[in-house]
Amino acid sequence: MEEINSRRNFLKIGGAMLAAGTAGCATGVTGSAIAESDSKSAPASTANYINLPKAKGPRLVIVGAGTSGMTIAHHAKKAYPNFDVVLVDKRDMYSSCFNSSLWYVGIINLEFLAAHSFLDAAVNYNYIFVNATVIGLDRTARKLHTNNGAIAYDFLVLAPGINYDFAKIGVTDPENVVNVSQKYPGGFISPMEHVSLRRKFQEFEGGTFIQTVPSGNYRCLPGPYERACLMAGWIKKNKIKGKVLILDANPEVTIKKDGFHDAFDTLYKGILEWKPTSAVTGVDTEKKIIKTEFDSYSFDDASIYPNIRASTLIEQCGLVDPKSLQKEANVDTRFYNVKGDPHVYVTGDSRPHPYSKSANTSNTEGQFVAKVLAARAQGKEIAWESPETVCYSMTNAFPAEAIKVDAKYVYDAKKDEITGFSPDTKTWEKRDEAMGRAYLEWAEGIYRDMFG
Amino acid sequence: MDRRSFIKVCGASAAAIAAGTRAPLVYSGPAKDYARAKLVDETGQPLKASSLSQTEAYVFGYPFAGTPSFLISLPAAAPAGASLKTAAGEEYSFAGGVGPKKNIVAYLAICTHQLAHPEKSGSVMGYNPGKSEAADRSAVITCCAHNSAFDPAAGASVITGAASQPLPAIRLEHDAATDELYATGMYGADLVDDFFKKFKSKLNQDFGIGKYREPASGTVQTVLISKYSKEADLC
Repeated sequence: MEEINSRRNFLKIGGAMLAAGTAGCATGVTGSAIAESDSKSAPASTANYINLPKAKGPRLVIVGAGTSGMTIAHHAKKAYPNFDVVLVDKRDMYSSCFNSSLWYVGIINLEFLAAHSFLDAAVNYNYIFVNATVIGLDRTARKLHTNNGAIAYDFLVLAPGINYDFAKIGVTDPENVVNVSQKYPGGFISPMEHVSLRRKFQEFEGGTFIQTVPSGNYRCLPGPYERACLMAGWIKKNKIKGKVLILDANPEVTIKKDGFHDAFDTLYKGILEWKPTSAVTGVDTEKKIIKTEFDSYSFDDASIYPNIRASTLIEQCGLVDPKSLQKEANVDTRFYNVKGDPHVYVTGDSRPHPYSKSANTSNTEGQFVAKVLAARAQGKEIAWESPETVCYSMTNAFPAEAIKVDAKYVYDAKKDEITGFSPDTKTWEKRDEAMGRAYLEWAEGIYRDMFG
Repeated sequence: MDRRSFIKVCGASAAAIAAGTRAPLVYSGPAKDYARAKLVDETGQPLKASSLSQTEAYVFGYPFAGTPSFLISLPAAAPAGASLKTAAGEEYSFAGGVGPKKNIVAYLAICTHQLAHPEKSGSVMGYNPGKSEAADRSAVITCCAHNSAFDPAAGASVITGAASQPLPAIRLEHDAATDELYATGMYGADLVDDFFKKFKSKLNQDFGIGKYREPASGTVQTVLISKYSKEADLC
């Protein structure tokens, strides 16, 4: 029996590696496969495994050290100390995406965003950090393949975030994709985009700066409007002969609209122009022209925020919800496990829910998912809890003044769907300095929860 | 008066030492005794319970130099008995307000959600005697970072927000003869170790290396939050 198992596992590994070499992931799991594979049995061959300490309890492997993954790593270990938690990320240096625009105008420094260590988080919250890139997933054998070797899991959380979907703004030619993404970054995924955007702010000497806003459930709904306000504030303060043009794919500002309109009208009159229902349909980086359905706009510099989709990892692993317009994962609405597989979960901005894709949402959702995992590791179930979206936007930089929203969500059991914001959702849309200060403490609180 | 207080302090300490145990507690649940400390103003004069401001909280470093606590004079008595529970599931009950009107309470001013607290540079934690937008009612402690609110008249139980447990309560004593106030211990969740761990570098900067860990004793300066923090925000 042992030999048969060994051989079967070997074949599985071989198959998975072959698949990884082509599509990235072995996919699919049969109904019997979950029951068949026993988490306590050691893999027959450990030759291609990362040499981790022996698991002292059920192993929870988390992919993605962003807000979602790090919150789950911390809180799952806290809720169920028997968990052997391994957090995997391809990055070796963290830099915060949330509130990064504040750095461009000097409200915070780079240290505020980046002086947070994965090592400290792992030590403080008692788990293992593995710096590796995922190259495949074998759900039948419950093995995650990375560039450094495989990791066996009892529970797996994928929180890989998002990728841009350039095709939706008419940018399909690979050369055009490279030009747009490198010259005019959207600034909602990677730290290098933030570094480039900050340089754009500092180097802006005049003309038109275009900030585009995509359609769909894009990451950080107020983010592009906030950045436009900060740029307009920068222009005003430095008396630059320039203006900001927002090309918004949506018919109305997507969140905190009164607070943003108030800033557009009172603080940035003549400096900031907002054009609704102006979805980008193409970009000419040579001529510096952005096209919309009916018009085209020249710019001197820009941040072009394409539509977004779930991380390509979700697609490579065969986990996409066929109904999702943004290639998000097909998971249980309340408990986040891949449908039919109680061992694999998808959280954070790769989830298919209509939740805001933002830090506080992922932080509160992560705390709930940690409780789900802790319960299930002990054979229990818990009731659904809504994530909470507390989100600030700095509509003025000089002085720093913010607006905010505090929202939860409603679950409709009959439809098994999230149907919208809960009735107690509140907004604070008269900007003030107190909220500007609270904004910074909001971020630092989330960093503490992630890193200790 | 001073002599009487002195004798009381000595008496209490002597009794505790003689019995080999800590003074009996008037409540059940998780609690720690700390050195008895008299609350005094910036000039070293004892605070008087009957003349405390009701428009904002006072801040005092208790039970350690680096752990800010709120002293609050509420508009009405805060009755004892509210049932409370820490996130770890420990149950305890609120000891109630002290002073002639039983309206004076004190809590650790560290948000149980993500540990926001008053600092010299500013505070998102505060006592709002008026109507709080976050809580939709008056006389609450608010943390504006993530919109949590606590009820100071009921053991700082959570009214709203992401906080999962009440603020730890500071045990107070009121000397009816002198109208003076003393802090003697803390009960509820024990946040101090976690707080020190997370803020060590900042606390070393603000208080001097290792000074934040010094236990309060003797007298402890108690100042209005508007004087303690450059900006003190409510929500």
